[in-house]
Amino acid sequence: MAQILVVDDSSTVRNEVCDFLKANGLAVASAVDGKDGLDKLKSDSAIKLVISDVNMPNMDGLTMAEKIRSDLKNTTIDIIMLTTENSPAMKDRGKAAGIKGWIVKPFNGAAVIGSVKKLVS
Amino acid sequence: MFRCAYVLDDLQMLRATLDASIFNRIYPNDLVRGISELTRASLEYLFRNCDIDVETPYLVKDRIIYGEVFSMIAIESNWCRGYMMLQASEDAVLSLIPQEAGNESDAKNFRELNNVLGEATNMIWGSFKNRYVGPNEEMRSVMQTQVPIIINHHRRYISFGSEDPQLCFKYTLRERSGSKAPVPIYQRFVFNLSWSPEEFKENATVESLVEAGELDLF
Repeated sequence: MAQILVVDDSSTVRNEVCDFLKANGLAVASAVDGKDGLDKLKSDSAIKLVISDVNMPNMDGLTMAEKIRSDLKNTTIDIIMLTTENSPAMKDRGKAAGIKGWIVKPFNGAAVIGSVKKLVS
Repeated sequence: MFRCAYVLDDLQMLRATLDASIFNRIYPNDLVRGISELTRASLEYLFRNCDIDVETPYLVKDRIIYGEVFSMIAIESNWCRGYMMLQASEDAVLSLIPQEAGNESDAKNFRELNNVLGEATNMIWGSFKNRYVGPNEEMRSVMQTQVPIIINHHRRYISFGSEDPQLCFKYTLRERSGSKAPVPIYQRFVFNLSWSPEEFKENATVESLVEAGELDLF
């Protein structure tokens, strides 16, 4: 039973984010792309927050976010994108999918842990 | 040191010497400086126990691939189109990965190397876009032409079909403990598909955006 799902095709980033969240007392699951992320969400209803990359193979993070709302019909889970992308057009697409926030890589755990804990509390 | 002599009636010698001697009549200085800054920041993030040395950038017209592994990503904007490559020696980078990107039990795996190099490439291209590719780029004006890329693994040769010089950087990763040999990584830019430096500009709005790594709540 995880509180947070970390979705990133880079094992380097995925491991770093997961390790940081675990070290801060949070229960974490991970997925390697958007398709895997949807599967993990279907099998774990305890997840309250998704932290996802945008550019991934098989299914990108924004498409995954849209499918969380449309296919899984989950309108309550919070989604944060963690990505190198910073274009207003992409952010607008994310907002339309109900994304809660946007983090530009590199990941700075200390700067976001307070907000992350609030979202899963 | 004198490089050439010329007379005003015949400037051909001067032209040839300038072409051969002056580093940068093609690439804007702000771009060259910015690339080294954003690449250094990405490498420092991925190799945290290393200091990153950046040598003076240079231009080449060769097509030689350094090392055994390299990444390549397409660069697209309305003022340039081409590729960026990161080239490295496999064993050298692998020697740094156990401490930086994996755990000891699963160390020295070429997939880890691919992952780290791929993430570095992704981060550098993302930073490049955020800094130099405007949010409202009018890409419709760009003719999306492509040319074949020729790669000869046996000869360590790659050709993009252009004679334009490649913009090159060399970064050296030095593990702070001093127990590993310095690891060079070569970075090359080739804008073989489109190059309009007169339209190059750094995004003025970048500084006002949320700092990298911080959460921008909607």
